[in-house]
Amino acid sequence: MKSVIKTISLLGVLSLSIVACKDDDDTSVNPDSNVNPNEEELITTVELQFSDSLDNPIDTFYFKDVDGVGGNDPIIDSLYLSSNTTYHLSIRFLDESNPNDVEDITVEILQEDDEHLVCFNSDVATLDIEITDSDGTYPLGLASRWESGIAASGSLTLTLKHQLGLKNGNCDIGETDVEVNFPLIIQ
Amino acid sequence: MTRNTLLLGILLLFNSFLFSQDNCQLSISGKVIDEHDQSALSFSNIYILESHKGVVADLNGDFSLRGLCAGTYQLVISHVGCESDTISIELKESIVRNFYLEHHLEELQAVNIDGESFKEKQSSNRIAEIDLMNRQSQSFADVLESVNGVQSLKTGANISKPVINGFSANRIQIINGGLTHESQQWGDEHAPEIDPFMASDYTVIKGASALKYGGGAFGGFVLVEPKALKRTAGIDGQFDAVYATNNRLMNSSLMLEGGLKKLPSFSWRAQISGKQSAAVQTPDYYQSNTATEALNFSATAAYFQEKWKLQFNYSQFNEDIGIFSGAHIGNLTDLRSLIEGGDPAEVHQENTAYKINRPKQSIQHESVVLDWRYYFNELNQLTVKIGRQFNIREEFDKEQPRNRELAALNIPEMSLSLESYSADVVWKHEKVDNLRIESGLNLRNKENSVNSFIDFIPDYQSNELGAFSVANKKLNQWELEGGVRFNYKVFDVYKVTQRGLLNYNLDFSTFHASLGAKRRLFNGLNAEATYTYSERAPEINELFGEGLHHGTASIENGSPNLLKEKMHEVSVGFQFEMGKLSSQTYFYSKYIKDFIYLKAEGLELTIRGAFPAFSWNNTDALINGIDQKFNFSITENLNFESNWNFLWANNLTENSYLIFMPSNRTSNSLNYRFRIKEKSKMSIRLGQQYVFSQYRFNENEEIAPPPEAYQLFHASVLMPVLEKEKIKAQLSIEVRNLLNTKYRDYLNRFRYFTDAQGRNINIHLKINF
Repeated sequence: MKSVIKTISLLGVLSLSIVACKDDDDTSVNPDSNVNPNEEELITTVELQFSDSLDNPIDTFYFKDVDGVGGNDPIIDSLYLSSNTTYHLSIRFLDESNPNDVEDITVEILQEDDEHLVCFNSDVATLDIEITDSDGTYPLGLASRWESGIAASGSLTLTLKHQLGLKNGNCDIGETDVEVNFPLIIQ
Repeated sequence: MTRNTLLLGILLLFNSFLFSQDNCQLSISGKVIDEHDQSALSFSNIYILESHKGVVADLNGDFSLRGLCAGTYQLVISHVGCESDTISIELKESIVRNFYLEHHLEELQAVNIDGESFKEKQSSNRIAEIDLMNRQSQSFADVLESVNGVQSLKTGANISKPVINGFSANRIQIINGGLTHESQQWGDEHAPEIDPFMASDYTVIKGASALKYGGGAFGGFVLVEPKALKRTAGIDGQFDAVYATNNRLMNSSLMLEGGLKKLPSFSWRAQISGKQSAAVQTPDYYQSNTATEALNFSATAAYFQEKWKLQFNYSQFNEDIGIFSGAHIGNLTDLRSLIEGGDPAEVHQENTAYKINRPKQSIQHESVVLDWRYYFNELNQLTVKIGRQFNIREEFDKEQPRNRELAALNIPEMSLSLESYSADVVWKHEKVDNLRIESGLNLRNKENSVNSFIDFIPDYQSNELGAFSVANKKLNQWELEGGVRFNYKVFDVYKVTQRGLLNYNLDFSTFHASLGAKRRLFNGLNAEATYTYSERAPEINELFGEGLHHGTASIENGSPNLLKEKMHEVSVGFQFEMGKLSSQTYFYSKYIKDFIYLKAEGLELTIRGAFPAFSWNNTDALINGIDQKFNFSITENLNFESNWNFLWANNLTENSYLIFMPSNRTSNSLNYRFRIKEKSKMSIRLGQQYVFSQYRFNENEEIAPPPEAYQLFHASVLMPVLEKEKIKAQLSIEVRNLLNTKYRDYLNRFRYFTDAQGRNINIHLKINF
């Protein structure tokens, strides 16, 4: 009888220890909640705002992929510029994945301007682009001056590089955060 | 006989006389059984130390010792090829008890593989002591690679997954201490969470007998078993210490086990191991941020009764792995410029500290098992097993959030936790005429929670019910094996999409059957043939996986409408022995209807640029392969071993190849073993390994062509350093990649970014006490 009791109590202890094991911290995402500390900083939108030399807005173009990777295809505007004109371009990067809470990522890029670089690459020969802002040492690229020549067409690739600890003014190092290609028409 | 032993004998005799003047008609009977596969150990010896009396068990391992007086006896149980065991028994009445012996893995195995029984050679393989000691500090998959026909799929130098017959991840199942290992095994960069120091025995099994472990493992089942528990009073143990030069790895493990004098039915074991390593060194540079650290522990307690046995296992695995930071890229342009640029930009010229930065993985795995066996009699046994596993996988990206407040939290970009429960009931029945039947039921429940914004796989719950029956019969020259299994699995999936939270319910029934026959054709030649039909339900990543791989700059999409896979497999094996030469050949051919694979879907445009997109699809596939092993004894002490592996893997529907399949390879070794003391042997091994380039690949699926063929040389020595009473110390030293060859392997997902590990000297001291 004694051994039966012993056995039963042994079993009890063992089953208790199974239940009492590492508790799963159930912090799974609540899809209804807007508060999520783990939310990834998605960039969904690139906004190009062209102004004249007096900073009067002329035209705004977008690259938008609001549902992120996969899902719907991105919407890409064509950049229509006038020939023989000087523009001031101001770029914003936005997270519009939640239409009720649009986030301006540009603010954070400005905070970490020594780690970021916006680069332009175009096959249109009659366009001259010059970056006009800097992090103090190297160009940043959120602001630039564009000078168009005679009518031509082609494309423009805009790249946002994250160059933590690597930045030297060069575009081909670091990790690519944004790489978008716009059709470009100078008319 | 000396006077002392005579005196001791008289004393003992007197002792037992005191205890039992009235009854000398007691008996001990039972069966001697192989601890690992539960088969009977025919013609074992059972010997009573006190009375110098012994018997030999019969063909079925049964024995009976009669005419014993009451008292305490030391029973020595031994069997050829097994480590003998001494068990203390307090005899008050006649008892029936089964004894378990463990296969002796040390020494003999390395050379004497051809001395193993036919049955073991068929479709299972065990790992030699020298291989175990040389690789234990690496990873579970590295240990398993020493089985012929097993390769590993790597992500850098620190993450590897086993590949068997070209299959890995979802098509392999690992049975760890009797429990199906449940983790996020679908991921190529998710290594099995198993401490190589916990196990002593690694077996790869296929065919009918594998059906009792599960279904759908087209590559095979890997059984990982700790050694049998100690059944005598006192404390034994093992201490391991490893140092490896390449990445300044330090690894140590302590295991203690014992029984209690006052409670002879109780046995226990506790084990702990810790590991730390710094950056991995290629011949030219250090891979930055490739440090690792691990802390694992386990405990086992068992209670043995005449009719039943209750065992409790607990284990925990904790590992942090630094991921080579040069392999973390933003988009395809970055990847292409890295491939064209040659050496990676982010490398160190000197070895940095044991510090792990981002990107990294942090993994925890915990398992608890309660195993109860009841022996109705010698022929019937019931096993009831319940288990719980808990797996947490956290992956930290290289880049932290731009928002500084968020970055300060240092939280993982991907975090998954998987909780699984299992219950198994197995009935084992043996008939006297060499027929053995095992039948059982398995219940599985899994729940996956996503704790991060990046999910890759969704929240889900799955339930699975399985039923099987496996039979084995020896008939004259034949040994026949057959089995059936049926599984029913239900998925309940909650997926966050642009359209809100969607709920999917899917269910899959799978059927499995296998029939195999072996026989001795004539002296020196054994043959076997097996046919297996098996089905595999799609896994969660294939159904619902979605996301971007940072290491390979590709987008992966699941397909909820996938069909289950259906495999027909025929395998034929020959074992041939003639004089000094022995050979084992294993052919396999697997036709898989609706094989689930990643189909290239062209480029997908995102804000980061265009990425190659892949989606999971069904196709028909055919995989053929040959695993060949030769062994030639040049002299009594010197032997030559040669392994060859060939694999052809085709996508029949698209008339193309299957991606990520191992290329053909050969490994050869010269083994020199000699006796240095009466009982100790020393072995020296020189190994060569040649891996052909994979030329069976599809242009549209590979970002860069597969790397060139490579050849590596290895040298190792295993020697006893101390043998004093109970204490036995062994030292193994292995130099891997002896010539510091620069190479890249097709099966390494980081082959785009970096060369593989250079020369490594692994020094392992093992002390048994």
